[in-house]
Amino acid sequence: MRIEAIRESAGLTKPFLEQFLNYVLNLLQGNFGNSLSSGRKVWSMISAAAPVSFQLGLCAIILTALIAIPLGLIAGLNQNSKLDYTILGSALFLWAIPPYVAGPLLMVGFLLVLPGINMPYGWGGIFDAKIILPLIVLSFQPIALIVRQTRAAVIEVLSEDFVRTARAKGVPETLVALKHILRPVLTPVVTQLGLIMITIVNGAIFVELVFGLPGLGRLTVQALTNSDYPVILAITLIGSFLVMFSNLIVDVLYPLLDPRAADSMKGR
Amino acid sequence: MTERLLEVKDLRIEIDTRRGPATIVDGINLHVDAGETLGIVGESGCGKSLTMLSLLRLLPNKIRVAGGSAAFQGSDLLKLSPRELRETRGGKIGFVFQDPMTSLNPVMRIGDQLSEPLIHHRGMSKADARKRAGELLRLVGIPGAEARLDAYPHELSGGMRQRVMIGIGLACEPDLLIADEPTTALDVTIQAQIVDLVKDLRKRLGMSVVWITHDLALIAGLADRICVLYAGTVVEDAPAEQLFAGPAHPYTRGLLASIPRMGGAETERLASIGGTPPEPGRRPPGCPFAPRCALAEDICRQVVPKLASMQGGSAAHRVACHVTSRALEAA
Repeated sequence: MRIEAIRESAGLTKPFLEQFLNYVLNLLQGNFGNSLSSGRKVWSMISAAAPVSFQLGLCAIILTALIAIPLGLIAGLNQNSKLDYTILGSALFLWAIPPYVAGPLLMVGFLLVLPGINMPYGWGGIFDAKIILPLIVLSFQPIALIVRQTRAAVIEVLSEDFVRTARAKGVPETLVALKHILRPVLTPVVTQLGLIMITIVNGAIFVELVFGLPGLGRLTVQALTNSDYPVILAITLIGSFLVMFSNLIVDVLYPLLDPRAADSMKGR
Repeated sequence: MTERLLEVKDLRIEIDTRRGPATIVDGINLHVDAGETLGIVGESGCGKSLTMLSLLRLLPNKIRVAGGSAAFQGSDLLKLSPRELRETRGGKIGFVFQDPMTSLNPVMRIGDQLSEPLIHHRGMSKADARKRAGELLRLVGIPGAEARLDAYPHELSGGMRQRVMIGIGLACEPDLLIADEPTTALDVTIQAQIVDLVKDLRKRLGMSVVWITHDLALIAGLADRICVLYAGTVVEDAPAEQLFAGPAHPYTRGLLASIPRMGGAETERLASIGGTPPEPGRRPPGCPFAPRCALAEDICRQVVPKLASMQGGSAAHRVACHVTSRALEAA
């Protein structure tokens, strides 16, 4: 009897098309429905988790950019030197460690080596020291990826004629690197950084679980284990929206990074 | 005698290959006098561009100078410290590259690209350099000069871009301008404009010019003296009129014979030189041209001929050939 009543109240007795129409109409009004397990509004659950994920993603990307782009530039400029091999080897090493290995290992390491330190678990805002460890773990693979991409792009740009021109003008080597080589390299790298950020915002499942961060990743896992369909649906929808939105941002930013793209957009 | 500006001696350039280093440029000797225009002629791969690039250490990866010297204003270009090298590049020696489509930075405004040498060599402020960049654009004949400073290279035509390149090369009024096939990527009318522009500028600024080309017809009206390169060596070095009036090396003769002439019979076939130049690292023991030469004798296949004035000819006209230098003596 109770099951029947719930079916009735959730509208599950209505035809499929009507149910779908209702869901879409509710969506348009910003109503994602209620969680099946907790009964809370799905939207309030997501709007609590999303800022955590967003800040995590943004900080991880900034950390990645600050570390990986200079390293990639140095490796590319010194192609096939010992320095290059060291940087590339370290990147490969980082790449090989999945977050669900790096997270617990680093955590244990921290606790054993620095016993005085607080357990890096839970969320205390982005300026809390507890955030450092999860950020490092989150940045491992992006750093490896960006180092390799930057290095490859630098090597490609190095053989361009305009780099030779810059040298023939007597521009100092450091400025050749920063003004002539880095600029064209940044365009694809920034695009890649944006895409990485989206994947982190969409839910860094293992890192959030290991470090007890209340982001979209943990919400996803909870919803999946509870078969909480309204929540799963909402997360999926928002995730796809984020990807589309970020692609739009990249397309809009592109002309600012490459003047040639600006002209082709104006149809010249 | 006029002042020697640049004297390259026994320059050798090697490339790393899977079979070990191979010699591309094999003992080149050439010189440029102050105020002179030297034309360097040769077919693709004969080492003419590499020779000039090596002077400013702009050689691509895996290609390096293996020996020789290049005296320029009292010092050896090949032994400059990094600081001296930087001061020479763009400051004392300007370079104009072959392809204006790829030789300008596509994401940098041309005003900034023109300003760079001024800022780094003359210590100009950004504003001063920009003003000077506008003057340079006017100098190289770009209409609406100042208005173009904020343009990106892709907004200019090929000819305009090459003018910008020349402007960059001239920015610090160098003593020597090296132009590496500056007109190859341009169509014929633009080629003529660029040639006239360089002639005019040379007169006004009193600099020396080295003009690298594979186009003998083009260089005829431009160069005071011409060096003909073949397989990494100089085979003939002569004042332009003497070279065209009486080419001494069989290779030069072949090149001149292959220039199409107006007014010839329509059925007349263009003369060509049979065979192909030897690959680097597989050069014959004697004269590199011997396998393709109609006049070759036994000595040509065994002994490398030295560049020497022709007996009985002008001292300025030098050729590296066993046969023709002797033939002139007999005649």
